[in-house]
Amino acid sequence: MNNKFDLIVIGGGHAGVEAAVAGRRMKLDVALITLDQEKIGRMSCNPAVGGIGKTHLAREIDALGGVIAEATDLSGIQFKTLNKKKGPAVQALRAQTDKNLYEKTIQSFINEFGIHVIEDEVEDFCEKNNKIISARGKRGEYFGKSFVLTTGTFLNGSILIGSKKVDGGRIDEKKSTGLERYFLSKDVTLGRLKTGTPPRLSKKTINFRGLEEQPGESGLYMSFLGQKNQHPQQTICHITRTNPETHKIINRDIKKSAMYSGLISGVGPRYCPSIEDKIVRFSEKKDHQIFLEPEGIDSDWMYPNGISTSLPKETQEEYVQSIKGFENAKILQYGYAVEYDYIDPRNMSKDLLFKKSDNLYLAGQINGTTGYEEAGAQGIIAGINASLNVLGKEKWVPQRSSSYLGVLVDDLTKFGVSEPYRMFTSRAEHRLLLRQENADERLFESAKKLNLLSEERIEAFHQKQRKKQKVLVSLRGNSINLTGKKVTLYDLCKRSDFSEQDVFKLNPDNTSEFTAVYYDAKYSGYVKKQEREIEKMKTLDDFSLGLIFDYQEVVGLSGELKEKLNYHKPQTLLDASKIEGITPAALNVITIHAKKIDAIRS
Amino acid sequence: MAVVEVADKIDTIYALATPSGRSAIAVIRVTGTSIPKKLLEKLSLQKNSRGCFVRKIDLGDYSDKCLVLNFPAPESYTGEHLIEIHCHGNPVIIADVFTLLDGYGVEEASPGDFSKRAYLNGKVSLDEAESLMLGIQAQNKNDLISLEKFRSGDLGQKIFNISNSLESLLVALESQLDFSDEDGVSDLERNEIAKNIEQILHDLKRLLKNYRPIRDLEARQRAVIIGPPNVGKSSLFNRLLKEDIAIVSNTPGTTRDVVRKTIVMEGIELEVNDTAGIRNGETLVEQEGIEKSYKALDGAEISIWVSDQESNFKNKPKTDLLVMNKIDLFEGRTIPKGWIPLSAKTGEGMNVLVEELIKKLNVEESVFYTSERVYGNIEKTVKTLSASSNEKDFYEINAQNARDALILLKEIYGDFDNEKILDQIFQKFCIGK
Ligand SMILES: Cc1cc2nc3c(=O)[nH]c(=O)nc-3n(C[C@H](O)[C@H](O)[C@H](O)COP(=O)(O)OP(=O)(O)OC[C@H]3O[C@@H](n4cnc5c(N)ncnc54)[C@H](O)[C@@H]3O)c2cc1C
Repeated sequence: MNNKFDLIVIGGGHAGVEAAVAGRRMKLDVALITLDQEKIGRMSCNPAVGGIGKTHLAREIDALGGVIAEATDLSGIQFKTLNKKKGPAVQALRAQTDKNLYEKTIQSFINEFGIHVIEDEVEDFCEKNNKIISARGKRGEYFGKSFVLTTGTFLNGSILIGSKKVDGGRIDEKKSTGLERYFLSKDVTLGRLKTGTPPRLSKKTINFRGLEEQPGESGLYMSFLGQKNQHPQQTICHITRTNPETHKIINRDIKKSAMYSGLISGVGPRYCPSIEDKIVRFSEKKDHQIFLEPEGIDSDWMYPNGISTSLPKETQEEYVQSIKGFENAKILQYGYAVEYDYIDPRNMSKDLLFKKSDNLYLAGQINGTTGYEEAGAQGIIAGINASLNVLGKEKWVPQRSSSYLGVLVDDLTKFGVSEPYRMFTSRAEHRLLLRQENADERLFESAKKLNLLSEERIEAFHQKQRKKQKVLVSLRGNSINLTGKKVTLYDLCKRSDFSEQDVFKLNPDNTSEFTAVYYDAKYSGYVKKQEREIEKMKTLDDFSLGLIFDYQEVVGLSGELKEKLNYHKPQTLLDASKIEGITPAALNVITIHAKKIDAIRS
Repeated sequence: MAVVEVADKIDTIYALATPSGRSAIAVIRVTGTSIPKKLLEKLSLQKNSRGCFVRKIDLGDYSDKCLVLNFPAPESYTGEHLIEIHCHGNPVIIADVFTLLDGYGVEEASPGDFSKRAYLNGKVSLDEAESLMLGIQAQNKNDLISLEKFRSGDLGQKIFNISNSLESLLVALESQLDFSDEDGVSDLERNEIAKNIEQILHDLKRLLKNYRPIRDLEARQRAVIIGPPNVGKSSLFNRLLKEDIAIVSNTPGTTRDVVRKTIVMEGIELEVNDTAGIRNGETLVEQEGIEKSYKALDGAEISIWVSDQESNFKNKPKTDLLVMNKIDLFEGRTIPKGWIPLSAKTGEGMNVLVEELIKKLNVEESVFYTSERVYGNIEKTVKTLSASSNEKDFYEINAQNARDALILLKEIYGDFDNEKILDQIFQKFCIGK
């Protein structure tokens, strides 16, 4: 068997898949090494894609030729828009997927792309002068020019249910081990994080009568290539709630939860707490909402979103049955927590290259994030850059000002993580401009230059632009009289006394892209502001701090700040300004010091 | 970066803190993170001994007995090691001390260097440094009174409180956006948010109303005294000022130009203008003065017509107040309705006039000064927050605006900004401050 490739991707989760696809789009010979090829693209937790902030990432991955959105359209069994009552910048399409269909779709993509799938467990790297030559697995050695590592929740993973702790990266899947030695040899210590998942229930045994229904909507697509009749059969979800009885049971057994018994040392996400966490932290709340999500159209498996747990099996059974509709519910798989190794992402530069190596890129949960979209987003960035590395080309770093991808890598590599990181729209300072509907526009030029786009995508993009152009021409070319003054419809978009509907009615030449154009016009003032800020940031970013090796020497800084700065070693003044606790005065002091060094040197 | 170009490479600097020229004593300050050892030896100072020492400083062919104050870091104005040399106030002695310092590699400071170091070392915040400078620049007691709120940090506290409300608003708005699909995040009503913003805007606008940027020293509210000649306008003017500055005589028409003076009335500042009496004057100079009198009424907040009789004056302008003067001379006379009877000479009835004036001034609170920069940022904050949206994107727009507004308010305290704010501020300082 051939064991020499251009690009080697380790891990077939959401990060690994996007990395491998990007490599193929860039015409490289790509191998995807993973523990179990049947489980490539598996959704470890929610059978769902999207969410506020997350959809923005999924759309951006799509704009770069990634597969998460297309696979969602082909396997989604319910689509709906979140934040519908709010504006376009924070609206997000969320899709319930058929879990099996999703992974099968991903696997067929991998196949179609001609990616070599290898089943093995990588345990070590062989390296020469910081350049990795090969990845060594249990079954063989694989040579590559560039490597992407995406171990997800598997690296030294343990699975916890109550007081039981077993090795594993996901339920019924073994952990991977060995690679920690490579990082330790580089003086990089690994941290521990944890996350959890709810028990899965048998649909047959749930009484849906009296539960609130949640219907979906039609005509919605995750991908910019979305087409009519692409979705499989659609379904509905239901809502139920916990009650005081449920809380009593959980409170009684709280000490038996893996998270409270001291069995877990890793930090869990604040945003996605287990039911026991919720009950402890919000003790005044009498009930908590549960979304009942089917894992597939024909599947008996139900995912009760909102009650992830690591309580013992008996307690899980008892509290589940205390909930309305679940009185006779049978648990098909118990809820569990998983604890795993991650690498502080500050060890990565913004192209996700591991700083202590010339050709190893890290992506996904191993960098301290949580979520499929967050994993996929890093996967595509790492895949692109690892490929550029093979091709001997300049790296590609997405910018905060134009994408959530940029926000993600910037946050991770600058601040590190203190809990599993997930995306929120509030993390983006230019939120109004980074909308799910314009991700293609924001990334088109980059994607094209990187050779990531198929003919089909380029054509779809231009078609959409033509539609937008038509509306724009009409808005600019038509005006109305307002108290004796002529005002173009375009300028009307910016006024708060005219609504979108008003302008729509006035505009003679409309297309389905009207709303997008309307908001482009409405927010044009913010574009100017953004440009000014980018300019400002650039000056800070251009100011290199590379010559400061020891901040202990900088006069006028507090001891705490000196330590922080020595730890972070900011590359530029902009990086320094983002470090927690840095004051304006401190930045000035640093500037002075940098200039002093500069003066001494010259 | 231009921000910190001044004295970057120089560690120890000196400057004369007292005015140049002859004086009993002169104070020279020296500061630096490492004041040259040799200089300390020369002054027989221990680096870390805080205190006040008498030292005879050898200046070559002669010596001067000086008082030397030693402030080890960080307990000093600049936060660095700081020495004050109090020598005798002879320009020759001062020049020789300078030469001595030059010899140790200490360099003369640029304007604002001392305060800039104080800021950089975290001794004062940016707005404090600024108010300090304005305090030094103030022309008179009134300026100082007006600067009091800024200098004492009262304004800073108010802005800080507003930033806090803004921050809570932002948090509330953000949770509506990122967590709206989650349980337990109740819908924050639009009108509740609108009310919140309205309140913040109200508070900010009040600051704009009660404060003035210091550049507007001339732009105070104005009261103009106008009337026929020789009815006691200037006496009234002086009575208001409680001091003699206009020429007062019995010959009609002695006030030829508009005489201006600022008074502070119960904390409210008012520029009072005394004008030439209006009638058909005989000389050209007089006529010119009369034209000026009418002109003075333009844009004045308050106009006061003064007369000593209820005559049917032909070209009497419409005024806010009517004053019947000289009631001490015409006792028992009936006062027409709407007129304020008073005697500028005895002061009788003045209290009524003052009350009326205060009523007419359109300020709820007193007017205070702040720096142009601070004022400008408050103005920009108001503008930013005012741009709302009535549509679906109400929440995001307001979140964005709140975020931008918060940055503007925080800049007031010196949040880092590479737009050379620092240089702008500190270069207005005089050397040695
Ligand atoms: C129990 C649990 C609960 C979760 N809860 C949530 C949640 O509530 N919210 C949320 O957003 N996300 C949740 N997730 C996280 C989500 O599943 C992950 O963020 C996402 O799948 C990470 O993608 P990844 O590509 O980084 O890793 P994974 O999807 O974990 O994939 C890792 C892949 O790497 C392979 N692999 C690992 N080590 C090796 C090796 N040495 N050699 C070869 N192959 C290897 C594995 O076989 C696997 O295919 C949860 C995950 C789990 C397991």
